[in-house]
Amino acid sequence: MNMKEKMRKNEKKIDLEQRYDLLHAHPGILQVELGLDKFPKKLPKKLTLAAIRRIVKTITVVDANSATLRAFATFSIMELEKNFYRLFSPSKKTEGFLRAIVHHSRLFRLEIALQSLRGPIVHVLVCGYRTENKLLLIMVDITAQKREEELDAFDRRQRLVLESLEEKEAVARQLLRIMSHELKTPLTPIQVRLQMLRDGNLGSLNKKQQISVLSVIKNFDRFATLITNIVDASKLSRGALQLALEYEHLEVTIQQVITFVGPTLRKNRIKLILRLAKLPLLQFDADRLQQVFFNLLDNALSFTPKGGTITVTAKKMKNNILVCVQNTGESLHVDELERIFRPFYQVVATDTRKKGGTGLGLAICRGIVMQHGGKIWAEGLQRGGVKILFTLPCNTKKLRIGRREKK
Amino acid sequence: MKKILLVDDEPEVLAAEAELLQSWNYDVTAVNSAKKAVAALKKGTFDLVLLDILMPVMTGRGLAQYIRDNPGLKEQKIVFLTVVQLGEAGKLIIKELNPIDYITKPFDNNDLRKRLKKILGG
Repeated sequence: MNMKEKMRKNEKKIDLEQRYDLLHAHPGILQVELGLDKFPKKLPKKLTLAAIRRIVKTITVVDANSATLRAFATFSIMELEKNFYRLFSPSKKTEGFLRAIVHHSRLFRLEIALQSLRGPIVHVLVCGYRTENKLLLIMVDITAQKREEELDAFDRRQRLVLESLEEKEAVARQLLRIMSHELKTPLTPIQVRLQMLRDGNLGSLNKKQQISVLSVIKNFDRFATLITNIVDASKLSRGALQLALEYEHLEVTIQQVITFVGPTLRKNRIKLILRLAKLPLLQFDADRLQQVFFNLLDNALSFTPKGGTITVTAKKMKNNILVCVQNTGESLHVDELERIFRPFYQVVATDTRKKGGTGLGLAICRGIVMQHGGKIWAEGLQRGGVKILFTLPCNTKKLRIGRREKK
Repeated sequence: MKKILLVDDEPEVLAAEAELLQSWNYDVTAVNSAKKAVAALKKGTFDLVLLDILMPVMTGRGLAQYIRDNPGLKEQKIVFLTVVQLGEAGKLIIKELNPIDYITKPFDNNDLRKRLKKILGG
């Protein structure tokens, strides 16, 4: 094989590749002649597509390329000629374009969307002009470019939406940060002064005044809990709650909370059964786990009928500590077992001794437990009542610790 | 009478806390900025500095740092009062400043009283 032959072979190869490119990357073109017997002296008043059809006698495709058939979703050029008008939906734009060509003998161009014979819309750039006895239309398929443009526009819109969302989130975060400080600050002087009144630091109160102050304190406590819950839930939702982990005894934490709820237990004649196994020293945030226990017990108390029982158990299971707070009373519907951990979800109990609450208690529990690397879930009991369980890993080395709260 | 320097930038909080402490027979000097606290510390001695952490300009931490850096005040007892619950990092930083205690606001009056008694005796 001499050099010349070799080169020729290479050229052929390139040629084939180029043709392949043409087929796939080059746009379909279509050149159509609409033959008129003779240009009518008098044009119909309203040059609609139908009117134009009447003066057109022949339709001939004079040029096409390998991509044409695909672009117009047709099997053959013949089919395209036969069904040429189907491409044009009678819209103002197309009609106006054709009318302009018919009326004026100069070149017009327009981007229009055509209905391909079987399948999607094809965007074409049409150039048209008229001679004495024919209308010539040259169409180039620009669907690909159009789609790219659309995608670009979509991207831009998407980016804008994202940016505005991020901005809104930043504002909300800032707002919550301010709120958590500003909302909590007035609580201190109110609480200090109310308790001073109650404890007689400001002089002794008569019976009526005492009852009034106690009622204010009770409502204030509820209000303060509400604010604390909202602030905590918002912190948890944006991962800003930071744990203060220390090695502690979980049993001690549980006992501390139980002394809190003692009076309520006695008042409602609710029996508390405590089954705490000897647990290993664990690393956890004692304040936060107190909050979890308090919420769980408070929750159980709300749904335990008078004379009922609450059972608290804690034991070691493999690498986890399993804690369970169980109460007698009504069971929950299966759907509700998951839903109760969602923020602002509230169970409608028939025996509601204690109404209100934010519906945030269990959501906060879940957040705190999850941040400790544990799980929390609820189970309904067939004989009535609800069981809420959570785990704490014994090995807490790989804990996710929330972002540091910046001020 | 034990002397307490109370520092908090919120006037309402400061007033309520000061009245509370006075009702327990403490000699209270209440100031609303770290700068004034520094001035007070230069003039007199206190058994305890009760300090809000989040304050503008010079924070409670800054003030505590000033106290710790001052040789004359090395043994000064400090208790932090904070409206935000401290995370692990926050606790670590504060530990370096060697406070005796820190109390989260809002606090229970009786709880505060018990803690102060433990620190100051009496």
